[in-house]
Amino acid sequence: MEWYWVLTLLIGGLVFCMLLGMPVVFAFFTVNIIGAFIFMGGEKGLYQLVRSAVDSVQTFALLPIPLFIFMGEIMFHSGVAARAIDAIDKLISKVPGRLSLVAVMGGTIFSSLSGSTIANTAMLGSTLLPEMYKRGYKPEISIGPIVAVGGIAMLIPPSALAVLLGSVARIPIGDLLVASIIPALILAFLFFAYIIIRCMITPEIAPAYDVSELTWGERLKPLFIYVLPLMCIFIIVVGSIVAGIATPTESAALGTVASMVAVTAYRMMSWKVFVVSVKQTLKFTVMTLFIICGSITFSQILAFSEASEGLVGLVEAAELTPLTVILVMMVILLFLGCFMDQVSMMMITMPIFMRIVEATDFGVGDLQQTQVWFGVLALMMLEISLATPPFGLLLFVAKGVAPIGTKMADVIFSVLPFILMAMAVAALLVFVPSITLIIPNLITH
Amino acid sequence: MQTNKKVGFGENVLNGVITICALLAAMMVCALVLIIVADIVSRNLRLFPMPWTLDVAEYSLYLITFLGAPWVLREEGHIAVDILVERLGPKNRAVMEKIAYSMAAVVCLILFVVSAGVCWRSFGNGTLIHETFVFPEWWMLIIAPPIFLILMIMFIRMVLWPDPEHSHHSIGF
Repeated sequence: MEWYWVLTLLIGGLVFCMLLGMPVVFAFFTVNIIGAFIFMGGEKGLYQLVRSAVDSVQTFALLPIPLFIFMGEIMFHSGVAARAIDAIDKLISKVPGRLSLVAVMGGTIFSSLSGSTIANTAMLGSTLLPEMYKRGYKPEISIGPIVAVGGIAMLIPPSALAVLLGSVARIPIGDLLVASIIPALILAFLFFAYIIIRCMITPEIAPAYDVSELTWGERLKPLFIYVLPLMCIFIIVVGSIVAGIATPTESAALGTVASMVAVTAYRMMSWKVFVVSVKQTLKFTVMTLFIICGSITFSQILAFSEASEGLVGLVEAAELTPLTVILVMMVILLFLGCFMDQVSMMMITMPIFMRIVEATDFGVGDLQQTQVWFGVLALMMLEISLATPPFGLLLFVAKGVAPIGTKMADVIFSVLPFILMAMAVAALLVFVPSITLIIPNLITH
Repeated sequence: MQTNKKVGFGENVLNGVITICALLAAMMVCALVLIIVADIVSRNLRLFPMPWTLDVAEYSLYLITFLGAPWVLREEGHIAVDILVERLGPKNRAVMEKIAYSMAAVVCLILFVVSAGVCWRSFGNGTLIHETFVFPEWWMLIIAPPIFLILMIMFIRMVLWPDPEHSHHSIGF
């Protein structure tokens, strides 16, 4: 069978099963059973499928996934994160779009403590949106920042999704985690600037209101009590990787323990918080790892049937410029993000994309640097696709926590400017790849 | 009446097994954190070697995934793409769900049979895992067949007795 028919059969079959409403892991299993039987030697192929599924998750590199998620869940359910937001709320006084700025700052800080994008958006949405609506903020300046900054959690370490991407695409996980920090901060800065400028031009979208007069002491005290100590957790996670004390996996375990110690020190740890956090961690972890079990054979079938070779050969034969190649890959990720979850997107595209990345000279540096740069770009695209209409997951999370009466159209229009800004940052990374390599190079030297 | 009682009993047993498996998986998540931290501390303070940490962590990830899978299905936590299904009327939606879950049940049946075959072969060959610990490979493989069997029963149950409250949950990171 020609490689393009194989590719059509596999991807078409997968999309068909997904659209039927099958849980994606079983959609992968369905296609893989058929593919393994046809292309990997009948019964032998099926045995290989089961063995691969069992072996796929026995990978030490995947261990940070449950640990990073655990960190975020503990912070979220204990209410420590909400207190940190409250502290930032006190810090920012009379500026245009005050609460939206609190969302951006708080979201960026919480994303450095949490490996979960959903926890980030849900926490910000449920704590800040009701207050924004009460103060007369229009949807375009209230929901947008919350959804957009929720996506930053995917970029700022600890990020469970970055770990997964590193593991699936065979990109050094430590480098990938730290390489995303600067693009994420640029993004947060852009969001910040946009909110201020937008609210200065049209003040009625975020009516100014009297903020109770606080002395500098009253403003700074909560910051020192509820925010700065939490930054120690970020320093433990990132610092231990940068200093070479711990591997990314070990840093995740240290971060989890540090989160538990912090929550206990704030006297906000309870049996209930612990149980809810473990339950949520188990749910996200099993959901993610089981998709890896189900989909691991997909890339093997692509390789066995020479479908990935065929596609890579086609790209090479087309003699596309590196810029076109990267643009096409980004557009494919964005398109898939319209109807697919991030884990499935990675499992389908990365085996092929990484072969293309290896075969193309993007002029970024050596192969490892190119992989890290591409990894950050892919994460950016995954982040954008989370908020891309009409089916971006964060849009639904935001709508779910928004006050009753908020329409999906409000959510979408509110998010659009932030998506454009994220795309601008992605374009910046394409043209100035060194931005992503600053911190990994620092570690190397 | 007799049949209902039997269904009720069977369902209780199934739910009990699913909950016990999930509890084991949850305990393993907590144990993982403790083991990794103990390893870092003991290595940096040169207290005692824990060379088995890496292997135990890897086995745990596999066990957590498989033991937790039925519970996540019960909690409707396995991510599904619902863009098409959500736009259908209740009747068509029910039909689509029946088709999707029937297919999933067949897939689980195949995986049950194949994984049992893999396990049986490994048992017959006396294959050993040679890592920090040396033990028969089928000790690990034997987890998969009953899990696929449970998942199959759950899907059959979802086809025959659909939950009217059922909703697709799209969750992610």
